[in-house]
Amino acid sequence: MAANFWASTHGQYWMLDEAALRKSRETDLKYLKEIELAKIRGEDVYCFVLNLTSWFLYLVIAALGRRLNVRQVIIATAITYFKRFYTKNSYKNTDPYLVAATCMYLACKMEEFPQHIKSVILEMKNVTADQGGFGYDNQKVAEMEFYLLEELEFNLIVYHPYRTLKTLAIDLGQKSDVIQRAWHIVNDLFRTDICLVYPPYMIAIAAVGFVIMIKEARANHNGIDTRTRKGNGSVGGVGSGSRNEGRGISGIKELKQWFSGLQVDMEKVLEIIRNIKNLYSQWREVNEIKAQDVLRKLREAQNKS
Amino acid sequence: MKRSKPAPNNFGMLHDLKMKKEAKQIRVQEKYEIQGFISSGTYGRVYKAKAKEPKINEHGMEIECVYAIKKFKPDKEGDTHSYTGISQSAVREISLCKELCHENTIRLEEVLLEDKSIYMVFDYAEHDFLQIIHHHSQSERKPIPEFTIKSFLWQLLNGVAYLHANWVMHRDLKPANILVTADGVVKIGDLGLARLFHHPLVPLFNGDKVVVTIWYRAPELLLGSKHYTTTIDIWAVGCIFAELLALKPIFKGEEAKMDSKKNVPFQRSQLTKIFEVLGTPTKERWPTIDHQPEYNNLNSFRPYSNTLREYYDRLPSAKSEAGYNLLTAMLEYDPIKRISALDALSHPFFEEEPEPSFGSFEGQEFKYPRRTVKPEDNDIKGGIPAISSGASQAGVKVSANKKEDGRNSKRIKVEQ
Repeated sequence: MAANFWASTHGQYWMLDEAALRKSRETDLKYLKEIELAKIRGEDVYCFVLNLTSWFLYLVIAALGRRLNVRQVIIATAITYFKRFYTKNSYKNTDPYLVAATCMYLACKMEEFPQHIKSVILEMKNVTADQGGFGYDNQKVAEMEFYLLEELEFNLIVYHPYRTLKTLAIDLGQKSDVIQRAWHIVNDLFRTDICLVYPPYMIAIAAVGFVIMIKEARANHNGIDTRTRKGNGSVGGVGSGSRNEGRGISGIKELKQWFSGLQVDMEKVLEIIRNIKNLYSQWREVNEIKAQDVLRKLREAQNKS
Repeated sequence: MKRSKPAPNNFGMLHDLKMKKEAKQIRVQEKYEIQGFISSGTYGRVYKAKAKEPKINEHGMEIECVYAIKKFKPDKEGDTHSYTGISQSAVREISLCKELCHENTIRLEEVLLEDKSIYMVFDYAEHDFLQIIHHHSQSERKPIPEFTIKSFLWQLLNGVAYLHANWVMHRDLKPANILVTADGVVKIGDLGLARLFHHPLVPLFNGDKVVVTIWYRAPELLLGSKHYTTTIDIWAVGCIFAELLALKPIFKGEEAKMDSKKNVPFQRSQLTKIFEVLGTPTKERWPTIDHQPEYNNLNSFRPYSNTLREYYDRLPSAKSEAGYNLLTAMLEYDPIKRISALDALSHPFFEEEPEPSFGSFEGQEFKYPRRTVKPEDNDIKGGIPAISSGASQAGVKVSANKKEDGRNSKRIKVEQ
């Protein structure tokens, strides 16, 4: 189990493929069309709206986590629970805010940082104050926890890329900025469904690979990819303050050599790197306000039905 | 952008999930026939149960499936009984048992949620170390056969090595928690205190101020260590090994109780019991002992010399020199020098005759009595909502197989 990812419930039961994910979204895609949410047609648009929604819910969960003062790992576990839950349920039939708060409550217990149910509810009220609020009490969250546990099939131990990053950090040395940047990328990746599709150690390696690629591109062109740089200024810290660090080509060569020596399915890693590029190219299009609107409409429609 | 008035959000969202759950839910009573009550503790109660549908094995034969169903009592909030969800100890036990898969750890068949109760369905084990020790000290009045002890110890270490290799610390190893099947296979049970220890987010001490039943608690814990390691489990295994040989606990101290402010008291009695056998710990034996928070308290003890050798030689079933070496390696004061489970498994003791086996009872002419199962006291009722308030659980602390020495009440746990 814990020592071997492939023997864990995470490795055995929760590595899904894209097709299964797509299927799990059918109800919501249909529903979005029914309530004419986007006023536009086309599967891609609805997919985009759904992605937007899950992106926004990532922000809600992360904000709740920050208010509760929990570590990133707990946020990652809560988000993974949330995503796993929605592979079997739809936004149409469940309230994502209730699910989000419950995932956080359970993740805190699982990661040995228990929070009082009332604090979770209170902070969730704060986080959602301008988005319709959070009208559930202890009893409802506790009840939701039972449903959540069943939907998760009681598989509560979740692996995250952070552990692999720490291992890789031993190789690269304490001073390396590569790991720190990869760490931010891994955080950003929880906005996507990547944690449901790829094993965490590969995600970690891909994030490191991406950082090395950016470094190389920068060194080659004496500049950086402008798209990445301007996008919201976040981009996992990739764009910030790295020009004057004086790492020569040789450093990059060494990094590349080290990287290609990692025993891992490089094809899969490249797939993940493509996902990382997609994430950052979408960054500007994704708009919180738009996502909030979508969610609000969803919830209003739920309320009517 | 100005947003419209917040939408009320208590829609029938839970209703949908409730319907979904009810559509597929199997109630405990429909699937299992409760045969009686086994034991209880702070967590709740354990029942013996039989699956109503027998399983079919590969030869097409029906096999009777017997289980121990652990019913957690709901977590209560002060006097209000307002429900706050699944307890942390249930989260720990469920999450770990779902991952574990080893010959010497108890297998979890499934988890059922019904009304507000959690039911963990485990494979049934007919015996446990405590019951077997008692049988020998009370009824048989003969030591446990050497082969059985060695098989028990080897399997226990085998299970502990698996847990440790997977970053799981048990933290509550004691004879009552070590189960044995009718065939003599050891199954480590009760992972309610166990937890993963890689990258703990907070010092272990913050989670549970007190771990491990006092008689099996390692000296570093007794001296207030806040960061501890898997070696605390090995100390407990050492104590259990001695108890299998002696048929009574090696360090039977009195637990100093926590005061009203929940300060952790200094465990003078327990340390005295340890010193009486192992001698007073010195800086030579345990170089970092002066870093222990309670180190200054050690000045108030009179010096004791190490009498483990004499203790061992007095035991009727302890004849092996290698056995003595292994015992001293497990009861090493310095946690760093204490033997690991993995190293213990390849200790010469296990290469000597009689060699250990998974069939701990092979060749035995007597049979151990079966576990006591009381037919009454069943609070798992089909259809009727199970206990959801404290009132009906009043009897929960009265233990059916509580022993005269009150072992079952020795476990104390404080969660923040």
